[in-house]
Amino acid sequence: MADYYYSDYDENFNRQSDGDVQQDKDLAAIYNSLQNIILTTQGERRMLPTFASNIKGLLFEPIDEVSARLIAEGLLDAIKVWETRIEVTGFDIEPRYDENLYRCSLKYTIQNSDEVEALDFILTR
Amino acid sequence: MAEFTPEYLSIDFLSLIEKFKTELGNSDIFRDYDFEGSNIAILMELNAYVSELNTFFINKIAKNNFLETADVYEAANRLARQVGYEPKGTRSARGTVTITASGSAGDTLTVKPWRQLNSGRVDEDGNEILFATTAPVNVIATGELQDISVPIRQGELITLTGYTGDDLIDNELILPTEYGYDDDLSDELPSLQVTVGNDIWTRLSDFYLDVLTPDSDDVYMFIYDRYRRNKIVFNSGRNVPAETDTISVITLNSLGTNGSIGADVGETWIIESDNLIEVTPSAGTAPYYLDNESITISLSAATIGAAAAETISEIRFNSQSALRAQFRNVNSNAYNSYLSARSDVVKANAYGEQDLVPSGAGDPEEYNIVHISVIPETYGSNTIQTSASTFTTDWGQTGSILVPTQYSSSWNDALLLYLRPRKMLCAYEIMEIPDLVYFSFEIGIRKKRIYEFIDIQQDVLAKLIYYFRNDNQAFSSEIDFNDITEYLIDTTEVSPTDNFTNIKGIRNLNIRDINVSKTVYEYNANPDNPNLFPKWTIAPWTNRDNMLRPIQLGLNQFPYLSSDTVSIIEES
Repeated sequence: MADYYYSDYDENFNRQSDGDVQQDKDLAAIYNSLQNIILTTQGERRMLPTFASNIKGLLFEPIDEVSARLIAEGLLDAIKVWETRIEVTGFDIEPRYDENLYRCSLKYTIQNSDEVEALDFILTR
Repeated sequence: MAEFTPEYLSIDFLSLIEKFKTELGNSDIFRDYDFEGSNIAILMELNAYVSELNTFFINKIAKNNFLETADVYEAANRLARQVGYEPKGTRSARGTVTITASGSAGDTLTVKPWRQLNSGRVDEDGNEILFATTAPVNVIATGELQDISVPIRQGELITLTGYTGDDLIDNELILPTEYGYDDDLSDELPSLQVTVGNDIWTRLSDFYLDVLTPDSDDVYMFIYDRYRRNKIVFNSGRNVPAETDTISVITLNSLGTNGSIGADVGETWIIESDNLIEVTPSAGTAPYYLDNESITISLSAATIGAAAAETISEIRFNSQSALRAQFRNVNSNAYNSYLSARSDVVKANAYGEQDLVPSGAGDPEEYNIVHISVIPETYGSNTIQTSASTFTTDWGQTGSILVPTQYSSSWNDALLLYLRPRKMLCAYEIMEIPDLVYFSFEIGIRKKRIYEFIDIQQDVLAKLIYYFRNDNQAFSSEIDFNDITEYLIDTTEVSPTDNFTNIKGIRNLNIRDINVSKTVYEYNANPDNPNLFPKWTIAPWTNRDNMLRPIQLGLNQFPYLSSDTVSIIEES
């Protein structure tokens, strides 16, 4: 029996020592999935146009609290639909007016685990 | 055991995804195939998408390798030509107008070809419905106003000039694509004229055909190609215009099916070309033209034969028929369809020994003889001559009927000449006079309250006339009063020009009596016995009056309606 729940391949196609494509397991696999959900815009995915969120347009709106709230709602909705392995426990979004970006922090727990994980990322145009 | 049968339609995007998932489900390596955000899901979808596209195009190519499954016009056109069939483009409506004019007795009146006539009507898109003469018609003037029957084609005359032999590419001249050229192939009523230098060249349906009269290699084909373009094709095996030869084309811009019109009811036709009728005096003086103001034109019967360019399914059907016949008239259907393709023939029936003596014993006198009866577009001295007769019904109505007497020798020869390229060497063809069997009906109608009986009466008669129109009937048919009754009361059965709207006002319709212009012979239970036609198709009932049994016509018999004698009465 394998010692992991989730497994995906490495997006950079890095190789393992045996020459096969490297596996991303559990937390790394979920990280891959979250990254794809956050970085994909609705309509981009062939045959699955509703996949992900439509926050890309909001990044071109003036940076303010309203836009930040809409981005947060869009992201959380997408994660809820497309990544069912995690439960979001907290999400912070901070507009950085001078740098033209949003600093985000996602906190979540994984099914079958009580450990809280965090993903920090920046959204910018 | 590998499955080699390609199941193209089952290799679509979703079924491929399912196959990938099943495959990955058997392994622990990549478990995230069920999560749409995972990298492995994206890779699966990319694979499935590319595979589906490939499958779609492989399937498309496979289908379009065969005429039976082709769904791209270009492929269907090319495949049909591989089996020797030339797909057809737009064909114009044809008809015969009556031109009334006069000249001094003994002078020759010539209705000139390629003259434009305007019917005064417009189609549903607002286009004027124009017609043109395309072949000359000569008559001797009687000194009084006289009617001249002139065949016409629908279409706007177009003259394309300025080409030379240098413009030919691979012996082909592609015509401008903005026109709907009339692609009908007819020797008597051509749809285009190609002049090379000062000579008019002859159109062929196939370069391997001989031009019988005059014997010449100045020939071309008019082809509707795979890109739906019309082009004039010359053949280096015959003659090709020299580089310096001028080429001019007179043709018709057809409205296709939109250009079909019914008989006119007092419309005024306009002659749009100068010099429609040339007069050649019998005294030998110089010819001159009649003033167009002195000429009147009318159309007594609806135009026929209009068609849009052949669709893929029509090409499929027609080319397969042509291939089966191997360009020979091998059976009755081949004869009938080949003869009916002529614009001056409405219906034809070919029959032989097996039809005449079906017992199997045979009749040595009938070996290899093909009997052919045809119904011409118009009767007359140029086709089938007729004499007039009368027909009186049991209910006292009298009407005139036509009795065909003989083929004109020129038309008889023209038909046999037309059949010659497709003749089986062993076949001996004989033209048989069509035997016209006139029917008349006594019809009782109960109407709905809000309808006027006179309106219903008119529509029932119009629908009956349409039912018995030559192109809706066939030789050797069975006339059944039940069929006719059902047809008359079926409101979905309409003609292209008349919806017979007052048919809806019929509460009951009964055919009370049928009269036939010929003796109807009694039913004969043994079909091997010599048959006399027309005959009842069933034995009489013993316990009731059965005047309305179906009637079977003979092989050269064709049903006509004696419309003057039809009695339609209101019953209460």
